[in-house]
Amino acid sequence: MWQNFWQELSTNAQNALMAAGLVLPVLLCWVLVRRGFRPAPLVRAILWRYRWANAMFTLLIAISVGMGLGLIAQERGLRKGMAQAADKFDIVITAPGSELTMMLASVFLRATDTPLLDGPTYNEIANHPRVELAAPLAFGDSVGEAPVVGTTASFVTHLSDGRIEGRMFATPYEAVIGAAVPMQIGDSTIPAHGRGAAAIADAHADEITVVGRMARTGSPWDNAVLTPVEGVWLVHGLADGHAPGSEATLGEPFDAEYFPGTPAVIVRAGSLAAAYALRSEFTREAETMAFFPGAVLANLYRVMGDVRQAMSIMATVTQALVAASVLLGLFILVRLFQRQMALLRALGAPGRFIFAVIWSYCATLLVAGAALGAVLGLGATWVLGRIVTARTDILVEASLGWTELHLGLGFVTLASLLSLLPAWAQLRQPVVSHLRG
Amino acid sequence: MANEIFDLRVRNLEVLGTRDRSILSVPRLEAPAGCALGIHGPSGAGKSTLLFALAGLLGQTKGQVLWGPTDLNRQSERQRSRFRAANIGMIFQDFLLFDELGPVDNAALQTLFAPHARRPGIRRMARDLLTSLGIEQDSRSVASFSGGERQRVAVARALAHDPMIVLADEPTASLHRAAADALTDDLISRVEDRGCSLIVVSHDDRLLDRMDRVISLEHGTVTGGIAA
Ligand SMILES: Nc1ncnc2c1ncn2[C@@H]1O[C@H](COP(=O)(O)OP(=O)(O)OP(=O)(O)O)[C@@H](O)[C@H]1O
Ligand SMILES: [Mg+2]
Repeated sequence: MWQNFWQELSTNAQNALMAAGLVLPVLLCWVLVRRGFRPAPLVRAILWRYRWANAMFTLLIAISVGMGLGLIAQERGLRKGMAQAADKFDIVITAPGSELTMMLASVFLRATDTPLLDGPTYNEIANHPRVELAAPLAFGDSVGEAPVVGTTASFVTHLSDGRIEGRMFATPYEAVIGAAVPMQIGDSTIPAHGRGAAAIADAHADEITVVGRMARTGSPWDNAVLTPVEGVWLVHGLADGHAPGSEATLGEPFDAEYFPGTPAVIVRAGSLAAAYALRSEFTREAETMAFFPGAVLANLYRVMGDVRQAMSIMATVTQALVAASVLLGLFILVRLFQRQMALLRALGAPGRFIFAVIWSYCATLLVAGAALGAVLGLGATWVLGRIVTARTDILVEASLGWTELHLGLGFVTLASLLSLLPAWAQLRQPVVSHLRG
Repeated sequence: MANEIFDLRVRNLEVLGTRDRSILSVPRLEAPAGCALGIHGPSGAGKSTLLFALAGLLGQTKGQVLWGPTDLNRQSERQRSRFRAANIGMIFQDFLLFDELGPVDNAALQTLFAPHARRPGIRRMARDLLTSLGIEQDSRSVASFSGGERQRVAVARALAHDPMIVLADEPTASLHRAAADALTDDLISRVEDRGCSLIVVSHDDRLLDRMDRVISLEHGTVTGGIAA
């Protein structure tokens, strides 16, 4: 019955209940230990007197908690970012080879030499009744850091959800740029042949003009210069995909005989069922390979999952070590104010009051450390995310999720319960020898 | 006037230090309630140790420390805490104040753990005592206080919960003559007017002169008792 109740809750409700369950022991301790007493002024006094030791200790907790939380948040952010970057790419059809390589080349625009699909194959894909959109790609040139990618207007519209400032390209020598490309609408430039350090500046003579800019997509396409595929072909002295006499056509349909070839066809299917049908239909030995980038990523994560598991065992061991050092640190810190505690006992303070002072002090350090750690972790994730985004244009967003919250709360609870030990140990101390100082 | 539940009777008290060296050995000591007892003796004689023993701070020592019917040496830690909180006011040789707190918070330290009902009374008493001892009650922490000021705050703390037993270790050591005499008057009047028991360790002859009785301690044993 409880299992049913649990399963019927929304994920958020489950997570919130778990979080509540994790803080409950600390809250209970807080209430029970301090009931009837007013330890706050003394806790404040102790916090202030040993402020540097306390600050160092809090910082140490914060860094270890922050690193744990940051790693989890970063990993999830990256996973989300990559999934989101691949979101517009239902199916990719390429020549047979490594799915990962092909995905990196076509979805994440990593430069690689890839075999081409020919015109008849492209047309077979494009004319398939289940296909809604089939875009050829053409790579090879670059403008500064930005790769030039030839494709079709309908794909650019699909990729940007139609959010284009300016207008769509209308001739082979016009371009729509990604949101992160450092050019303005109206700028003209001659692309270099090749990419990166190996690019040759003066290989081409034809200028392209920027006429539009896509809204941010959170993918490497934000850093690409998109032109009609015909433009890339023409610049390289190839046929433009259309029969003589219909050169004015831009984009689909292409003529198989005049089709120079494409490393990948980005396909959008009408439905999930259609996508699966297309994948199996175009998975042909020695001819074509069809894959879902989302599934390739999922596979990748599964491979990494084993590594993650190994890492999470290490992380658990590390956390246990951190908890142990926190405990040791508290034992040492508590010794600093043994004299004050002895005084309180000489004045007739009940044991539970001493206990309340020491435990409140420990819990304050732990909670402050964990809270600061959450901020640090979030900050580190944000910075790392910015770096990854700058390098790859994959939008990695920093956020703290339930997992991190549970981990943080779990740490606070475990450590607070452990810090009942130094509080208890303090009660066993002889009074008079500490009174004498 | 005298309240015999606070008659002090010590029997065969033995306090051992490390390696079973005897620090204090008091076969017999009596001080009826409402009596002012002075203790003097050279440094290291065991005077502070005796006060700690009378407050039940030494744990289970040999012999008996009886306050009226209560033998502190037979009581649990918890019972002794209660007894101290309710009946004993201690002035320590080196004051032991919380440097981060102001004079009132130090003097009213007991309000942090005393039963709710008693807290306002203790706080009021702490303020009155500080005023009468000439301590300004600004919120400045006692860290910057002089030795004499700290000693007076320690006195106020010992008396704020209105204990029937006052154990004072060199309460006038850091005070100038006039302040020392004023404090002596205060302590004596508690004994005379209200029947409190006062046990004072001191080297201050003017203070010792006003005690009902003075004993001297040497090497942990009572070597002389002068009836006043
Ligand atoms: N735990 C202990 N173990 C061994 N010796 C101790 C211990 N505590 C105190 N002593 C010794 O017992 C003796 C009495 O100490 P006590 O503090 O009672 O002296 P006192 O008479 O108050 O001296 P003073 O006038 O200097 O304050 C000292 O020699 C001290 O070193
Ligand atoms: Mg002494």
